[in-house]
Amino acid sequence: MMFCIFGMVKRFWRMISRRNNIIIITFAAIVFAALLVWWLTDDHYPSDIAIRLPGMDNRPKPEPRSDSVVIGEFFDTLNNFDEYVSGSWPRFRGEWFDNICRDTTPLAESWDPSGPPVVWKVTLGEGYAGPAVFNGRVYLMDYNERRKADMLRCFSLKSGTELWRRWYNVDIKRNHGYSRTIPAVTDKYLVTIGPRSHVMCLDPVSGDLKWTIDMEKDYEIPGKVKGRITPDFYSGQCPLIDDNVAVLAPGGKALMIGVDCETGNILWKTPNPDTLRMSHTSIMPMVIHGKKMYVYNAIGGVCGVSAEGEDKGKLLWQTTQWSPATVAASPLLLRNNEIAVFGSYGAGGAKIRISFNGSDYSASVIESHKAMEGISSDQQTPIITGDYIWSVLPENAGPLKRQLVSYHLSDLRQTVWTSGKDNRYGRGLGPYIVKGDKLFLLDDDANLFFFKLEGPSASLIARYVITDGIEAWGPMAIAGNYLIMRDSKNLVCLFIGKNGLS
Amino acid sequence: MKEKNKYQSRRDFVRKAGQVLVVAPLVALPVALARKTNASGYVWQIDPFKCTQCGQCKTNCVKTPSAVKCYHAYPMCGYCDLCGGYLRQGVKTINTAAENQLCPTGAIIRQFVEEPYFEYTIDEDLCDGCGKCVMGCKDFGNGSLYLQINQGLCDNCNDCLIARKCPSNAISRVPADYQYIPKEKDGVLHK
Repeated sequence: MMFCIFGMVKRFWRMISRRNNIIIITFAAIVFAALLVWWLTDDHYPSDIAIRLPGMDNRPKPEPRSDSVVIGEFFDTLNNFDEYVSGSWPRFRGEWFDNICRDTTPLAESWDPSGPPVVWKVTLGEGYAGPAVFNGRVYLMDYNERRKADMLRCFSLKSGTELWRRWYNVDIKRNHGYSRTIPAVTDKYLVTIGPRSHVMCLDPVSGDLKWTIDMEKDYEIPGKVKGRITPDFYSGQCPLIDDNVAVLAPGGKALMIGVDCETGNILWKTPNPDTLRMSHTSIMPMVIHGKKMYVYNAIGGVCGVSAEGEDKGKLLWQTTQWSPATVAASPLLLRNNEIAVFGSYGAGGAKIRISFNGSDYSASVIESHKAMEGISSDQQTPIITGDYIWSVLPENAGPLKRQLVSYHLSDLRQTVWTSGKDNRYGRGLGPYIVKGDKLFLLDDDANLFFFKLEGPSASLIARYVITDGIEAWGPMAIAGNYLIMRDSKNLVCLFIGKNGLS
Repeated sequence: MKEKNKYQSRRDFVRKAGQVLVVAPLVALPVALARKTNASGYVWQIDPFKCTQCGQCKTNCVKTPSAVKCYHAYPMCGYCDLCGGYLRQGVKTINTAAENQLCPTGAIIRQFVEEPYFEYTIDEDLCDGCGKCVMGCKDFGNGSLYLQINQGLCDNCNDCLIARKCPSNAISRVPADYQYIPKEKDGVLHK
C-alpha cells in the first residue's frame, strides 16, 4: 500500500515537474522574446547613432572667384615728405632676418612711468600687418574697411604724416582682422602682398606702380583643395627682395617664383610636385652646407630652393615629415646645418637636419615635440641671440604657457630660463624684438615690456601701457631712435633713443 | 483729562514698544533662519573665468550624462573655418568627418553661413561636459565656448561632487536669481 502511494506521488511529481519545465521554459522564452523586442525597439542611447561624414556643414564646393581685382589701381598723394631721419627696418625680421636691430643708435635705459614718448599715432584698419622702414619713410600694407580696399600707406618716420597711398578694391570679410604682411623695401623697389595674395611692386619714393601679380589667379589649381593659394585667415607671407629679385612662394602651380623687380618678368619657377601650399610663414634665406638657399615652411612640408648660381630656383630638398595643418612662425637656422621649425595650434616644433652628399641635398626630421615638450610658437618667429633661442610659449604649453623662455640651441626641449609662473604675457601671441642687450616684448593687450638680456636670462626693467588696444600681434620695427608697434587698430611710433626727442 | 491721557500715552508707548521688542525677534528670527538655511535660494554654478577644463565635471557629476554642458558665447565667436573648439589639433582636412572632430560625442554642429564663416551650435543632449572643445577654443580661438551647469538638469545636491573635486575652485553656490555666469560681455546667456 505504501509503495503504491509512493509510486503515485512520484508519477504525479514527475508530471508536475514536466509541466513545470514546460511552463518555465515557455515563460523564459516569452521573457526572452519580450526582452529581445524591447532591446531592438527601445532607444538605449541619448540619441540615435549618427554617422559623421564630410560635407555635413553644407560647405559649398570651392569655385574660382569671379571678381576681378585691378591691383594697384588707385593712388592718392596726400602730403609732401617733411624731413629725413635715419633708421631702417626694410622687411619682415629686419635687415638680417633675425629680428635684431643692429643700428648703433643708443637706446635710453629707462623712461618715466608713462613709457617712451609717443611721437605719432595713426588709426589703421583692423589687422596685424607690421611696418617696414626705409629712407625716412614707413610703409604699411593696410586694409581700408570703408573703401573695401587693400591700401599701401606711406608715412613720414619723423612725424607720421601720411605721404601717399596706393590702393585697390578687393572685397574681403573680416576673419580675425584683415591685413597681415610686411612690405619688403630697397632703395629702388617696394614689394607688397595683400590679404588675398595680390602682389604689387612700386617705386618706394614716388609710389609709381611697376608691376603686379595676382597669385590666386595665376597659380591656383582650380577645383583642388591643395591647389588653393590664399590660406585660411588670409595671406601672412611677407615678400622678400633679394638682389633686385622678388622671391615669392605662391604654392599651387609653382612652389616658389623669382620675379625681376624692374620688369615683372618671372625669372624662375620652382616646380611643386607635392602641391605644397602657401602658409603664413615667410621665405628665409639661409646658407646651409655653404650654399645659399631659400627655406620655406609651407603647408604640407618644408623645402629649400637654390638662391644662387646656375641652379637658382631649383628645389634642393624637401621633406613632408613636418607638416602641421597651420604654421605661422618662419624657420630658423640653427647650427650644424640644422633648422628649427614651428607649428601652430599645438603642433609644437621640430629640428630638421639638411644633409649633403656632394651632389644632392636631403632633409630629415631628427627631433619633434609637442608645445608642452619643447620650444614652440603659435604666431611669432623666435629670436636667436648667441647660443640661445627665445620664444613666448603658446597657450597650450602646459605650465610654461605664455611665459618668455630661452633654450640652448643644442636642446630645444629643455628650457634654460623661464620668466616664471607669475610673469605671463597675454595669450603668448604678441611680438618681441631685440636691440643690443634689450628685448622689447608686446603682449596681446599692447602692454610693452622692456627686458635686459644677460646670456640666457632676461630681467624685466619696466612695463608700460602704450594703448588700450587688443590683439597687438603685428611684428614691431626698430629704426634709429624709433620703435614702431601696433595693436589691432592703431600704429604707434615711440621714441626710444637715448639722446632725447628733438 | 489731559494729564491722564498724557500719562497713559507714555505708558502705552512703553508697553507697546516692549511688546514689539519681544515679539519682533520671535517672528523675524525663524523667518531669517529659514531663509538662510533654505538651499533652494542658491544653485551650483561654474565660474567660466576660473574653469581649467580638467574633465572632472564629466566624470564626477552624479547625473549621467553630467549636468554640466557646453555653452556658446556667440558675440565672442570668430565663426572661423579653422575652429580650435571643433577640430582636433593637426587635422589635415577641415570638414565634418568624425576623425576630424574634437568632440567625442559629436555634440557640436557646424554649419556654413557664408564665405568664410561657419556657425557652431551645441547639441545639449549629446554634450557630456568633458570640456575638450572649451579648451581648444580657449587655446586657439576667442574662448567663446565655456562650461555651465544646466540648472534644468542639476539636482542641486547639498554636497555637489564636482564642486568638491574641482581643482580650481571654479564651482560655487550662486543666487538662484543669477543661476548662470555668462561669458558674454552683455551678460546674456546664449544656448
